[in-house]
Amino acid sequence: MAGKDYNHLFKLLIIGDSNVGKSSLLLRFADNSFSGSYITTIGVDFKIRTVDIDGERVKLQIWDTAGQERFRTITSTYYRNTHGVIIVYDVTNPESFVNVKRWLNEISQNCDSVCKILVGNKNDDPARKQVDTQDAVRFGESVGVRVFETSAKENVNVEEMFMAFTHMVLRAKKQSQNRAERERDRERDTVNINAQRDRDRRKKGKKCC
Amino acid sequence: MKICYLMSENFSQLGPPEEKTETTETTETMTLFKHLKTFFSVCFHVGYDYYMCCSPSYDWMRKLTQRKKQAKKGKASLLFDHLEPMELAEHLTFLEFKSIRRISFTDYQSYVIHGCLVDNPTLERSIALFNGVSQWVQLMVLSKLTPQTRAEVITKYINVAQKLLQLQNFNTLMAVVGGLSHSSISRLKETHPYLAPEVVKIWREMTELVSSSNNYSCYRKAFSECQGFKIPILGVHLKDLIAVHVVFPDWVDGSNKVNLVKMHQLYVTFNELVSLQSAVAHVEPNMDLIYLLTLSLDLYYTEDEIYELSLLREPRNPKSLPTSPTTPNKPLVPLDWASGITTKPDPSVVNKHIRKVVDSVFRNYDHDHDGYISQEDFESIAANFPFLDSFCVLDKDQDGLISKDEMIAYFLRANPLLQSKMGPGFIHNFQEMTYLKPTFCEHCAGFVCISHILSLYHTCLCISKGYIKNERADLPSAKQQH
Repeated sequence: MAGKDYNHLFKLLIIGDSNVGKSSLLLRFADNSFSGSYITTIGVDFKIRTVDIDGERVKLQIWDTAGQERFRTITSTYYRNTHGVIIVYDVTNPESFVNVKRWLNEISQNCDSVCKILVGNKNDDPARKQVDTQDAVRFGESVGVRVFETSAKENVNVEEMFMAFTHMVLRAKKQSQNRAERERDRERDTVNINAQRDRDRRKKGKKCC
Repeated sequence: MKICYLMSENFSQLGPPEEKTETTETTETMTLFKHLKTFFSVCFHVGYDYYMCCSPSYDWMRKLTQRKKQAKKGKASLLFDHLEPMELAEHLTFLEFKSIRRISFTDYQSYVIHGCLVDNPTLERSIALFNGVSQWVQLMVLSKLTPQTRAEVITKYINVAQKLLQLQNFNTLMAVVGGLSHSSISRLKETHPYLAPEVVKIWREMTELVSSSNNYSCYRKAFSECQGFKIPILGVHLKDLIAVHVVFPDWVDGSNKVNLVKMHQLYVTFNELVSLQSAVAHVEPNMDLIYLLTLSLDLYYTEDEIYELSLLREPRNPKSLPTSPTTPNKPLVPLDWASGITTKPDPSVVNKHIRKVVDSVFRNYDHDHDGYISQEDFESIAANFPFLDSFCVLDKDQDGLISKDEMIAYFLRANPLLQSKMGPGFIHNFQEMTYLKPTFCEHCAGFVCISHILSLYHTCLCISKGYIKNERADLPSAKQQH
């Protein structure tokens, strides 16, 4: 990892209906909060934070789609090379929760494998809450996605959610690496047995010791 | 919070002289918008040379001055395959500009304040056009049955994209390129080898140009370097507005002072967008083509339907379907798509529009002017509407000719925007219908038979009126006999 200030780099994407607080969530979490000035050639770009997970430096690049939700083709271009998608709904707006299915569907059409997490934001006023935690959790279980409830406004659970998700993404990466390694080993063995049986046997013997 | 109000106040009081003038301009532009309809209709119909002088000199704008010389000889072909990329790009730009210049400052302002579309029909319409272009691109590609022909259509759109870039219409460029990079097209592995290397190269360049990496830095650079008439990618600038609005507080120094940094940044973006209203773009559109394009862009399919069609064209290879490590992508049950995704124009508008299209179709395809379209002529029309039903579906009285009324009746039924009013008799839902016995069908005026297998894969979408109650589930379904 020479020359890099991190061990892992992940691209995360925040999607969900308009006005569910995607940018606010990100604003809470990202560390390059923009006290600096806005540059027309760059726009407002706030999406990087490096965190420590079990002693490893994980750099997160978080992509926000706020303002573009209705442009279906634009949102679909974001999925490329994404490691994790954070689907946000607004607990005070049931429609945004209903639309989660739509976003999940878009993800499945655009990504072969990706980590997902469901986040109910604006969870700061029980009187205004319209999406029950129970319903959300039940739905999350049915589609195999963990659910978090946050409040970007009150800064509740935001850090926890991002950290838990980073854990998930890192675990997924390691699992798939292990799997790939095992498969490579298996393939190599097969080839070797057929082509170079002798050398293979020697090698295998060494491995076993 | 009245950003607009604060903004003008701030700059007139505190801003340096330059900004003062610009602010005044913004106000002027806003006033101008009130008279916009009159203003532009005057421009288009009378073709004031005065406005021409102010406009940058693009070839396609210059055409207007030559309009009298260009008396049409013979009819321009409206066939998609015959249309030149430039012709398509110009007409798409015409539609784009027509839609985008209607968006007022208050529309943008409302979008930023609400963070979503609230009573904002002009902006909604513009977004619908954007999505419509993307879907149209995908459908035209997927309408072709062989990888080779699909590659040809992709090539055509790449050429159109090039021309759009030339016309500095970045919004439609994004819609076209976005449509092509959509997973329903990019997953077509059998099609890609048929693309010429230079096309692949241009495609890649175009994709990079509008890519979201580094917050659209490539696009931002290209856009800022463009001079004269140009149309920005609306989505990118709306994202900027939302970001600035969320990120910066309205007030600073213990809520005493207005946050000037924020106001200035909002102003820069607003100004860019609003200045489009005063831009002048002239093209002499072939109105027949405009009507045709508008209808093509209006045919609404859900993304799921398009994706299914893509899967049908090139089925998924089961081997290349890795399982997700943590959260497997389960195929979800068919979605009840959220309401309010599409705009629903007034049926009378749609009706009027369809009549216009049909008129122009007849003007162009009814070669002997007898008021009927023959089967042969029909084939060429069908090329523009890949999902048009077969000839005999339109030819209701089965006399071998399609009359104007028959075609209008067909489009009225087919238009999904009217579906809610007309009942579910015309749903392209890719569902297979099978009947126990030969079934009389109102749409075909005949028995359901093999000749009604459409370019799609459902056996027949004709649903006999007698069976329509509320849901398709009510329909008799069993083995079809021929």
